[in-house]
Amino acid sequence: MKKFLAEFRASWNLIIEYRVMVLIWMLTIVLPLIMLAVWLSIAEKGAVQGYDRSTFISYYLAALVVRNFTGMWFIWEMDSEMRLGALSFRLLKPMDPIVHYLAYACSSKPFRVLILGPASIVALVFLPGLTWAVDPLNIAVFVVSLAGALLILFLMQYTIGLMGFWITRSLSVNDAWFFTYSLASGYLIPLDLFPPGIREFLWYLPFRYTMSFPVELLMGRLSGAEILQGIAIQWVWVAAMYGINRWVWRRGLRHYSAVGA
Amino acid sequence: MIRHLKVLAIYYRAAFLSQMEYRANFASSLFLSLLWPLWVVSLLGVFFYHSPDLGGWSFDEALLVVGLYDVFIGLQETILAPNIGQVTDHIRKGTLDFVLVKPANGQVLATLTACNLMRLSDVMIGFGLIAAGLYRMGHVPTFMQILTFIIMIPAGMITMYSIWLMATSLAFWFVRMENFGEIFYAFYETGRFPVTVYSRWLRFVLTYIVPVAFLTTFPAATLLGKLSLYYVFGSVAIAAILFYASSRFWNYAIRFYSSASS
Amino acid sequence: MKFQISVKQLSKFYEVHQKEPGFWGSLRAFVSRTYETVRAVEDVSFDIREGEIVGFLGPNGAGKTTALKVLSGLLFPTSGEVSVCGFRSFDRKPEFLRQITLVMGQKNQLIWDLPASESFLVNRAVYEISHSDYLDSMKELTELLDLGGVLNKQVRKLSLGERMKCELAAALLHRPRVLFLDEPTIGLDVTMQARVRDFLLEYNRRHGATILLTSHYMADVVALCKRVFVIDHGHLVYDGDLEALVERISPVKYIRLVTHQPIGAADLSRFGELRSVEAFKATLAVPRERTSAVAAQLFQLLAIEDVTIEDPEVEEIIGRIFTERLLSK
Repeated sequence: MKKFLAEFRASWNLIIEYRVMVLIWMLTIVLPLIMLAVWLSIAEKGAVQGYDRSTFISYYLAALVVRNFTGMWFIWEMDSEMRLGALSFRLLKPMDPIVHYLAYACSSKPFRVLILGPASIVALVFLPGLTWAVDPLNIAVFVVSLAGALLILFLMQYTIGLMGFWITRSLSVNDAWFFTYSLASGYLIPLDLFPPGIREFLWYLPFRYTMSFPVELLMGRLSGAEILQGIAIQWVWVAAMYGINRWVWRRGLRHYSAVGA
Repeated sequence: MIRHLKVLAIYYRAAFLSQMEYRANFASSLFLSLLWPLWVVSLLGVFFYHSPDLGGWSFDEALLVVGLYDVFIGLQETILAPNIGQVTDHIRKGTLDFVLVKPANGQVLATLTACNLMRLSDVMIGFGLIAAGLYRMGHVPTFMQILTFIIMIPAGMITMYSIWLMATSLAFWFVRMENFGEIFYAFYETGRFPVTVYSRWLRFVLTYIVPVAFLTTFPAATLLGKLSLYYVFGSVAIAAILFYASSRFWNYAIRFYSSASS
Repeated sequence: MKFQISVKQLSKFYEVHQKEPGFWGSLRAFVSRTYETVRAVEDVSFDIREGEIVGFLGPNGAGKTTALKVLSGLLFPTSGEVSVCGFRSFDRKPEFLRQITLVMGQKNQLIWDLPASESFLVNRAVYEISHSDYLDSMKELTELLDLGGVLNKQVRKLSLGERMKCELAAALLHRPRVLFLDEPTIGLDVTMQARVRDFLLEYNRRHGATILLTSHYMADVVALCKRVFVIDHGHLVYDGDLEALVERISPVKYIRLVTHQPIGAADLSRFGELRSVEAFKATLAVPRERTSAVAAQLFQLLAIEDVTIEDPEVEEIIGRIFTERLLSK
């Protein structure tokens, strides 16, 4: 834990150093807003399957918050380190590199919360269409779901990054993964609005628990039972992802040590 | 000018040779290029599942816009993006000598030396989408339509490049803002869909302030015969003005930089 | 235990694919590839005691860096045994990792955009260094490496020399018993190279840390290492004293003369092998045993203004080992 905090502290200092860059990056997350703009023009002619203007606004702004808090971009750093041989140094430290990368991945989150927190409050006050369930209990559960989403996404991207042991283009795998995630998680399109067969299929994938589930929670669209069940399934996915990651990690190490830095 | 192009050609050949080494690179690039249209057509599909048109554009017509977006992203990734990393890296590390050493009018070209030929597949697939859309509509463009279309594409590229150059020049003053140009990419992302789908004020911004409409929607419209020549001339004018302004600004920034640092 | 580092019949082989030059070669390689086995290290054995400073010599690609990587635990051996501080390096147990450190010239473990002090704090936590040990280490390393003023500047803004000093400090915070140094002085200017060498000597003297070093610069090896390993094409062709190696390969010394009167080749050729001659200067190569005798004769026979007696440049000797394959099996 101490090691994690030390790593986090260093990464946090980097964020502070580059706070303007981080802010700019936050501003570039506009895909939900673009999707929102398109839906709003469609919704002008009438609600879409129960989603009216207000629902769309609440959905996509929630998606924006969730994306900021759970987005993972550390794979670029990982790829660069692997290519430059800096990974050798990490392997020779008495600490699993996963601690470093998790700390690094989480380092911008407090900053984003600092910006989005007040922004959300302002939005809630001034945007009449925005309807979120903001009672303390719901927010608490929402935070738990965010943590779960973050861990699932972290483990997914870390595992993809570990493919760098075998292939030179883990970044491309990551791109392909993003296509899947953006569609299957509800980031670009509310899962409810997919044609029926597809919607059922997506329900069983882990992606739902990285975006749609927290969003629906924040919007207050889930019953108590559904929330409990969702949290349970989400954390089962966290455990499953962790297991897969450890397996890939062991094999990756073996390969690396055979083939060389 | 010819000499500069020859130099660029040498760089690009070297890039091609080195990139051929990476088979996995190539395969994955191709794979991604094929995934992208699947992805965006799925998006369109869901929209059209719920609505007969998008801002007045039919599904097939929207395919043209999407295809053009792919073409531009492909061209951007081939020529612009590799240089962005290179140039901002040099600015950050203060190792801009490679630019400063070149003769003044070559400096702008010096920002174009890296290239990622793998992404040309995006360009081809983009044109494929455009062709598919035209085929489905049964629309064969007239000579005039094709001509204006061909004019607007390089105009759009030059516009994109100029905006990027200006934004990147700011990095000379604000080192920690080297990714400022990325804000513009946020605007470009609106280019996936016809500009008429957006609300009026956004449409205004996207036409006259950050001219994204000129990149994807208008060339698509001109191919369909829906665009007045006013806009065609406008796109060329915008490209010329922005290119001139941005290269002046860039050279100014370089001079400022080299006089300020040791 | 008697030996701190013990290596028995170590071999390390890789498969790499063949690259052909040119345009058509590239296309062909694209479609089908041939692989060949590179025998980076082959049947190498040696033992090292605690506190020794050992240099690995060899041309590029000889296998020095590979050997170092196997010893540090980054690579596992294709065959053979490696034991460092009683551990099998490859297991990379935390107790083992806490006792070693790896420094590679021109590769950074420091966080690029932050001051070095931040990286130190991370290392402190990672290696579980106690507060008092940390303070002691910092004090000593700051003094020995002259780090004042450098620790709070961003690493990317430091000169190469300053960066190397910080890298060394970061690598030694946890007082490792074994130091693996791969080209630590590469790219540094001459003064800085000397400073790094002095530092390593002092560190070895104070803490008895074992140092394994690869370097292209003979000055490093000459200054630091009594014992050298010569590696050629993956084989260990010499393990022993550096001076003995020099003597064995080059049984001559050079006598350089400066004279009052003009001299010519004819005057000197009977004393030894003439390496160079100009009007007032000459260099003679003379067998070692006869150096003083020859020098005395020269003094008697010629009007000598100045004379120096030197060993040949070690670089030259080592270079000859490889170009002339003087030691190969």
